[in-house]
Amino acid sequence: MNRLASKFRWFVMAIFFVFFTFGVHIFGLKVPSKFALPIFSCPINYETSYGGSCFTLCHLKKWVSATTTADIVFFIVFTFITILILGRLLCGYICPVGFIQDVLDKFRQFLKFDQIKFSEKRYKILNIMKWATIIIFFAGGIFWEFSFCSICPILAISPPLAGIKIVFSLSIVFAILFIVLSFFKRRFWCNICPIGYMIGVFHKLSFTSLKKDCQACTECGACYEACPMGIKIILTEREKDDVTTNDCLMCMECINKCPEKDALSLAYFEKKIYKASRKNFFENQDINE
Amino acid sequence: MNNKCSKGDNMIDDKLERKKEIFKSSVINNSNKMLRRIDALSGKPESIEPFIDVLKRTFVDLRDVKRPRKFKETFGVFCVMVPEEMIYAANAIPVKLCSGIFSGAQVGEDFTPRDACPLVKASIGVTSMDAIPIYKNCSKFIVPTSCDCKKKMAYDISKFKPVIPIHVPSSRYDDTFVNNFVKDLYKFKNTLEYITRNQINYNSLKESFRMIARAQIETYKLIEMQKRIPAVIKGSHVITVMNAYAYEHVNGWTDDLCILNKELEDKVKYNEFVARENSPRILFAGSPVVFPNLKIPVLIEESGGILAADETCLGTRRLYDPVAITDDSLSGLMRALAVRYLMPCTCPTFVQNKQRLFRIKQMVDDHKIDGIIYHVLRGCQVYDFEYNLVEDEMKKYDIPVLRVETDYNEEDIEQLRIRLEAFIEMIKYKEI
Repeated sequence: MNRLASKFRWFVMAIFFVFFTFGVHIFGLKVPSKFALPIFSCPINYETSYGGSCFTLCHLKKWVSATTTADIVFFIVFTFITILILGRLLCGYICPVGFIQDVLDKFRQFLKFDQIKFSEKRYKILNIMKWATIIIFFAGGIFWEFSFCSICPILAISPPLAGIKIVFSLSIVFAILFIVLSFFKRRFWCNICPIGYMIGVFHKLSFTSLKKDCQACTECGACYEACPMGIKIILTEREKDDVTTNDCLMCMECINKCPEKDALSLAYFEKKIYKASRKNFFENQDINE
Repeated sequence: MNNKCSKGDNMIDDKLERKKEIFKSSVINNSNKMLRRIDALSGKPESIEPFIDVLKRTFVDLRDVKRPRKFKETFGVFCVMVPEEMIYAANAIPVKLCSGIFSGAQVGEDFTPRDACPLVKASIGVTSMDAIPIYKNCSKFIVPTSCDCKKKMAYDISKFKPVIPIHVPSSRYDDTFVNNFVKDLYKFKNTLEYITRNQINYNSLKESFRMIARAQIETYKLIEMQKRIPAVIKGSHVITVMNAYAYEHVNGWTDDLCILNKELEDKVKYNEFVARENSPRILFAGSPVVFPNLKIPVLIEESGGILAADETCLGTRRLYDPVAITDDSLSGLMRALAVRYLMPCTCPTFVQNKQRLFRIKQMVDDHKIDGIIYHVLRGCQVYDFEYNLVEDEMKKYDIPVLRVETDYNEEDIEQLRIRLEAFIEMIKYKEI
């Protein structure tokens, strides 16, 4: 049962990846683009087909002047509701960029390359990079009429995957950087993703949360090692029940690697739906022949 | 001139030989006595015999560890911070040599200050006698720099055997400590490869991970058995099992434990218990107990208590924390090893050790503990320091704690018996 839980994430991610990347080929242009989720997904045809709301979010000024008030209100309400219901489950389960990065990471492990281990110092540098992208992403669209798309690495990755030719731009350079870095560091992009951070800001309101039983924890450090975002509070927290942070992707890697019974768990509406256990730990370990 | 000299040498040799013989016979006597007491405890499961045989083979028959084909060398290992996986990966067997031999401690007094802990005294003493094959046949000793006594022992014992020290950081609040420990493990890996002439690579390391993980899964089953009320197995027998782990190849040990676990499961099915439902359940915490110095665990159970859990480093704790592989490459495995042997260790040598209190609280909850016996080996200061912390914390939960300070000498056994009996009786009457 629990073994299925970690497979389940890959299954969901793969489905959404196919939907967002090849959706036009399969479903045509039927899906209305009004229901845009706050994720990084390139709209294949800017007018009609389905994409994430990244395009809207990085061209806020242009978009506001070209859209009716009703549409603006609908967009804000819809975005807010998805953030409430899913929180950063959007990042861990739905975002196609997340899937690409996870595949790259698995590919590296398959080739037996060593990963670049990020310690606290390097995460601090990533934090600065994150604020830089946030400023370019949001302020660029509002104040400077600068399109994030012209440097966005995803623009040079997902449309070509769907079979669309792209012209050479700066984003290809960033795309190569993106592939190399996420090959050596798990979920590199998520560490500096502006939309993900925007969702994370609302984590206290969101229904999903990560819980910790502080007494059961032995501080074995497995969760911190497993976390692609380098969240140390899941290891060091000893008083509070809730260990959700802005950065948490809800990828459940920490729960998979936690050997203590119920020490870490994923909660939805305060109800624990996926808990850590010894049995689950050894099943996820892939050490049995 | 020449003649005289050789005559003198012969005399010294004879004296040494006689000393060795006396030492050997006292070790055998001591071990036999303890084995008989373990044997006499009621409720002994049948499949514990292989473990008792291991102890018998090592300390009574004075034979070396059984070596499966391919495993040629043995390394002597101290403390719980040495990554055994790496030694198995180098096709060698780690034997855990923290000693509990009283006569060894007496010999060791020549080399150590009076207040050193008996475990270190005994380890140095037994090594210096060069009489017990499990010590004699080790190619090298691996000593982590954990507590002060072990640090100094690393040097003292190197007079008799070559020693590889492993630097264990005394603090771990920062990532840099783990990173440095990883670097130290790489150095250790090179040393091992140089000595054994075997490459430690991804495959061999993963294979040894599997071996240890199997042992850990079985150990965890045994711990789950200990959580049952009424008890299915006595704690002294569990400690015997864990002590046998020190002198055997992990695969053989795991197979034996598999059989023991099955027997215990059957016992649960047929309602064969070793104690009544209301027998006081005791948590044994503090300094390590090593065979043949099992006097306190055995005394507890001879006095009517049930040793429901032990928190000492050579008990079930040795195999409690599993290695979490978060990255499936050689460097990932090395890092996982470093994290596993450094982070969850509740040894009080570490500066910040609050996790030990939480661990004890969790054990009290899981095993339904009624009282704690806090064992302090005379001279084991780090454990003594933490006694107050444990007592203060347990006061909040109304769990009595008894501090027992002793060493390997058997003279105080009757005094200890009176104290332990009184403590256990107090718990009994408290419940009524």
